[in-house]
Amino acid sequence: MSSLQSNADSTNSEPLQRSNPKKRRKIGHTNSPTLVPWRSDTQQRIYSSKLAHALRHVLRRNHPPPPAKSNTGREVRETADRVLAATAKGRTRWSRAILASPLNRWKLRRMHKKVRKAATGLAKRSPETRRRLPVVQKKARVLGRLVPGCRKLSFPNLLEEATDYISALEMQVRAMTALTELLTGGTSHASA
Amino acid sequence: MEQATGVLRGSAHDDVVLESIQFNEEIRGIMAPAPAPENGSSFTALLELPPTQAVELLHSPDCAAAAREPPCHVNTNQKPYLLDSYGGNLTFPSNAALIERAAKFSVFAGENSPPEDAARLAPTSLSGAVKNEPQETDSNPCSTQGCVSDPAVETKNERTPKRKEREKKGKGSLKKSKGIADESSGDGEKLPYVHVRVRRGQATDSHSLAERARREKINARMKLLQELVPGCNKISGTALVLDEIINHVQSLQRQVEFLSMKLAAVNPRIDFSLDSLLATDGSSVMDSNLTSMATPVMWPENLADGNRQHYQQQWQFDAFHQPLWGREEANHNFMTPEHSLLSYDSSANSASLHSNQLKMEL
Repeated sequence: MSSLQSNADSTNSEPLQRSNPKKRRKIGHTNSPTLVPWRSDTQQRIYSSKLAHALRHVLRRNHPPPPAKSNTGREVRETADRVLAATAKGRTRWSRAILASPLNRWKLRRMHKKVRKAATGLAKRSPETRRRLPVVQKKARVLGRLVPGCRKLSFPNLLEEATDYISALEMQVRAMTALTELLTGGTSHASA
Repeated sequence: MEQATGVLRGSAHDDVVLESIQFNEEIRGIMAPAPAPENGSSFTALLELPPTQAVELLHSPDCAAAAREPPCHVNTNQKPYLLDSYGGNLTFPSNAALIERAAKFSVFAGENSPPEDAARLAPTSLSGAVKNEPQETDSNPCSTQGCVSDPAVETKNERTPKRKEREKKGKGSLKKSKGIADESSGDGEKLPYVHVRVRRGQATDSHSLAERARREKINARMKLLQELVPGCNKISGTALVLDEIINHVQSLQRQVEFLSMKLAAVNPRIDFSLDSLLATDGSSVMDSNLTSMATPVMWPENLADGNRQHYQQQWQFDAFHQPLWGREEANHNFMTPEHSLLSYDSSANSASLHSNQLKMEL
């Protein structure tokens, strides 16, 4: 069992296993938060079981009334994200941000983006002023927008949050893939 | 590790030199009030030292203030301070293993762990530490480095401006002492405040030091990210790596969205299968979904030990075991689907394989 796991993960997980088992302690404030080992088997199981429960609730809610507007996908996605954040136990900033905003983050974000684009379109930017933003900082802003709750974060902390977020996302993708495969595999079997 | 050790060794000199002046004042402050012997104050340390060294220790505050002391005196100076800060733990790491530990922890761990580990692990062999020659500082750099962070946390504010001043003044001696360890100053980010080693010929300006510490922090985190994101190892340059990272995050988020749409599409099925497969008993309900119930029902019961997680494992196993059993009662097939399901990475492959087999069968 474990050998297969290690074989499958060997290429990617070795550098991670160096850094993940090392639990970082915080002094008073979160300098370097304790990282969840997203790659471990137990985490996957925890996540998938929680996901299954949550999805059941969501889909049961949607199933009897046939969805007039197809927002089930978004709901599924949001529950998946919330379950992911819950699995993170709120140690990281992005997990806290996801859990803390039950409002539709994506809708708000789209609104924000539209507003911002309109604003920047009006502001005149000469070539000199544009060069003042170093390229790296611009990309850091973009990354901050991508990782939930990390917009106004310092660069090193942002990188750290991004590290954790990426590994969490990878686990989420793996778990959801397995789940869909399982269910669609069962579906085709039963229907035929 | 050796590199880190070497850095610790060489880098402690400057640090130690800088610390000495501040510690001397502290020591005087400590020694003036009545030191309780059981609290591991300076007197206790002095008592443990051989008399000659103790005398040296007492005298060295004056010497250190006047001239740049060789590290041995400074090191012994620091001990009472460190002892006092530990409140009785006469712990001085004098093992090479401990240095490596401290280095390891200081690189990755938070600021508390090096001193805590040093406190826990180090034998209280003051004699070994006391016999330090000026060049031999492998024990004390660790204590300095590790222990400094702990008092540094408490007295951060008053230390930092002093330290930076001393660093500026001590540039000459820094250059000399850094001759031993000419490696990169990579330790700066481990500790809570600016603790950067100066290389030969580099500015000891406080601004540039802070800059360097910040850059090292960023570089370390970027390295972690590079390892995480596939294909980033070959790219050099922060901007391009950031581009890759951003692309990766976006692709992952898109994948999650796509999968969630897919899950929503499978919606009616989920109600069925989740309920059935997650049921503790599972025997009756499974009939509706899966064929030839007898053998698979037996199987989860055998494996289930009352643990909820196990049931959910079974849930994932059973759906795949079913078709295989229906096709061939080959028990050796148990293991492969089980393994493949456990390791999600290969689950996609195995799942497609099983679904192909299903379709063939049907």
